[in-house]
Amino acid sequence: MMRKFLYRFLLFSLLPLLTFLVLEIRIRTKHTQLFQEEKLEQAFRHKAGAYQWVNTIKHPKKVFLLGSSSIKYGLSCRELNRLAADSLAFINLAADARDPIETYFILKQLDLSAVSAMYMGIDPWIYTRNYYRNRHQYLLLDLPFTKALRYSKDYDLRLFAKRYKALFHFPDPDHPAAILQTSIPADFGSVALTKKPVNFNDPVSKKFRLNEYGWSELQFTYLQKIVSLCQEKGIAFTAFYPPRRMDFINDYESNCRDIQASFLAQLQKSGFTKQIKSSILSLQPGNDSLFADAYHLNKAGQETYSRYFFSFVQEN
Amino acid sequence: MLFNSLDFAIFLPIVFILYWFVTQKNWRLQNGLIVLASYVFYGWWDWRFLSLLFFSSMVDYVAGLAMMKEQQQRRRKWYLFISIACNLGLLGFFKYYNFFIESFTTAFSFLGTPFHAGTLYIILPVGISFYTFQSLSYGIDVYRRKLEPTRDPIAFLAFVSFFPQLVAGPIERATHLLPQFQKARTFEYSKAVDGMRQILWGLFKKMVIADNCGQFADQIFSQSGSYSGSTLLLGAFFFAMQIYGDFSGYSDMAVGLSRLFGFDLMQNFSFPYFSRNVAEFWRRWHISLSTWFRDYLYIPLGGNKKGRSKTIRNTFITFLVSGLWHGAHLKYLAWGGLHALYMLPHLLKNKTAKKETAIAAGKLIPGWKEGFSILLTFLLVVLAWIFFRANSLADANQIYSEIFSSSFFTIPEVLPKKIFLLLVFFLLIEWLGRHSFYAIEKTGSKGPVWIRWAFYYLIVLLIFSEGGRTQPFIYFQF
Repeated sequence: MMRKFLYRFLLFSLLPLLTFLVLEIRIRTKHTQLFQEEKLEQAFRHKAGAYQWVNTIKHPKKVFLLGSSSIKYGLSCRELNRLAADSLAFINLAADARDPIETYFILKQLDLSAVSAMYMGIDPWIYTRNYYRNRHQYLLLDLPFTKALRYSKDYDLRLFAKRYKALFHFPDPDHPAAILQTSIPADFGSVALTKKPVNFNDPVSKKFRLNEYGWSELQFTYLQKIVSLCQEKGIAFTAFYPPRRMDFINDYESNCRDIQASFLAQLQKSGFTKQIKSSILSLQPGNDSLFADAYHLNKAGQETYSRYFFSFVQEN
Repeated sequence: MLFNSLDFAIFLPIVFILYWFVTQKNWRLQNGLIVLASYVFYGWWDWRFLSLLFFSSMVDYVAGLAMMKEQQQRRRKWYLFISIACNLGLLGFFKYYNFFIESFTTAFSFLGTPFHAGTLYIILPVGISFYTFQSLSYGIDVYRRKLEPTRDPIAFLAFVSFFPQLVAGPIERATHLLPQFQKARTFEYSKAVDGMRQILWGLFKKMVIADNCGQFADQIFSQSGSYSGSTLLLGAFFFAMQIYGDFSGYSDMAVGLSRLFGFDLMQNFSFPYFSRNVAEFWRRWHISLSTWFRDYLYIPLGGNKKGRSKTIRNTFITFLVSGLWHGAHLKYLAWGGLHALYMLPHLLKNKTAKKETAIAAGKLIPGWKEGFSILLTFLLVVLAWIFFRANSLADANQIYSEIFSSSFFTIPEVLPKKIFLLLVFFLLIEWLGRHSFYAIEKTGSKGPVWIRWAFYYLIVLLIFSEGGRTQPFIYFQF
């Protein structure tokens, strides 16, 4: 009886196991092909649909602000344009958890002829594989098998299903093509944060989990591609650390020294030679009331930081 | 440890192999293994509460033996009292201490007499309400001389801590489960296959139905102030599906797992959303708890034998206590109270104990009258879930007022087509299997092997491809 049960169970499991094995071997052996620029572009280019309005802005000196949520909520383009007396047109292309890969493919779809400068906020944790859970599921194919196994245990039991879905579906069916947006948003892509962000409660060191998942080399490669794209088009590129609350800075300096050193080493390894400018606002104590949480400025913080940032742009 | 986790996927085969290949010749050894495995399973969540589980079990074990030896009724009563006091004392402290302190503070402040007592930071031990009730039933049954107390402490520990049903039931009666620990178990192929099938269906209910519906229910209930009445009702519908998929899915897995180890657990859900009235709903929903309250609270209070007014009183008490069992919050009391109100017409007509007939017996679809009754009952149940799911009583009131406003007649802002398709598939299978122990008991066992296997593969595929974001089982918190 038991023998029959085990035999039947193994037989039943054979098909899923074999499928699993074949797919994992395919992912492993085809990694380079899977992550060719053309392939990735298929997965990401639809994101640019939401930025069609950028091409409708006719200004000879556009300035792009790039990065993740800290930039989206941290800078107000309307305020910056006012300070520049409309001599520059600031446009915010940052979004929640946006990474260099997505940013690069959005930039590739846009008309860059009138862009004079790009400023990119650098959040080191964006460059980790741990952050793939906030990413397009195609990137889950970049996890080696053992890390994928761990990942599915830590974060998402459906990870393997997502990997295989990503392997066969282009573009990802869960991410339908963004609706083409041609009307210019009120603050040119910037948004004032009125609510408290919900998923930023862990200590900063837990955002990296480098021992478990490591850095995402792809992100560094695409950061470098953004720099190269700017060079090719004659656009000035500046990288900077967005403002942080004082307790975050203290926490980061005391607990993430090795991580920061490793991050800089990775940047260098990928060929990124630019200096990342520190944020002036972060260095000033007593600015806690300007933050919604340790990483995100609130509305008042956005206005204040925009003024600091404009001086920073002028100095550059 | 969650049933739908990798940890459990490793844990289960190890225990299964040890159980059937290493300890199979000695059922006492098998019981020892079950105790060990169950304590590892429970300790995986928080090992500190193992002592609580052990203490609760031992109190009832010792009280049971003492009641057996004692002939004097007064002393027997004392032993029962000690058992109940210890169990309910622990439950009361861990689950209700803060609730009662806060309620007293509010009540005294309302009366103009300040009352100061600090609340405590108390972690609620997972499943405490389940194993406490299971353990309590033993003491009460021994006191009532319905059950011969066991002298075997390992069998008793295994009965209380049996890992498939430890943290979310079914709340088994000692009269049913304990004897199964006191005899040899044999491996039965058909039972094990049936168990696997039920586990598969339970996983589908949990990971595909509950987790997907849960995401939308959470979205709607977390911003209830900004949605129309129609969307809020849809949110309540999603929650109804979530809690059913979640809890009955867990029960299916518990029953299926037990079968793998040669045990039979009671049916905990019998297609409650196809009930034709609320009384029937309560005979089909969380059966192990409903019957527990019936046998150990409603009937001792007098049940329906002491006149209509006392029957109504006893029903309200039972439903309110049942509400409080789910959580230390006024909203659960309101939920229980609303269900008691729903029962009122049945109580006034003396119809609660009506003998059940099969749903749409011999028909593929119900007649219009039966269909209408099913839909009306479902709607009443969904409306009651709003109290259960809302963040507070104030939120629930706001949701009800929005639902009963003109905004109910607008198109809902949230309409996830994929989830609706999955729900149609799910409800169809449940409807077709409504006369079985669980939905795919017969659906999955008829026909040629390749068709059955194709059906199972489809379920596996749906679990892997359509499973929602993993969420802990709702009933663990009770």
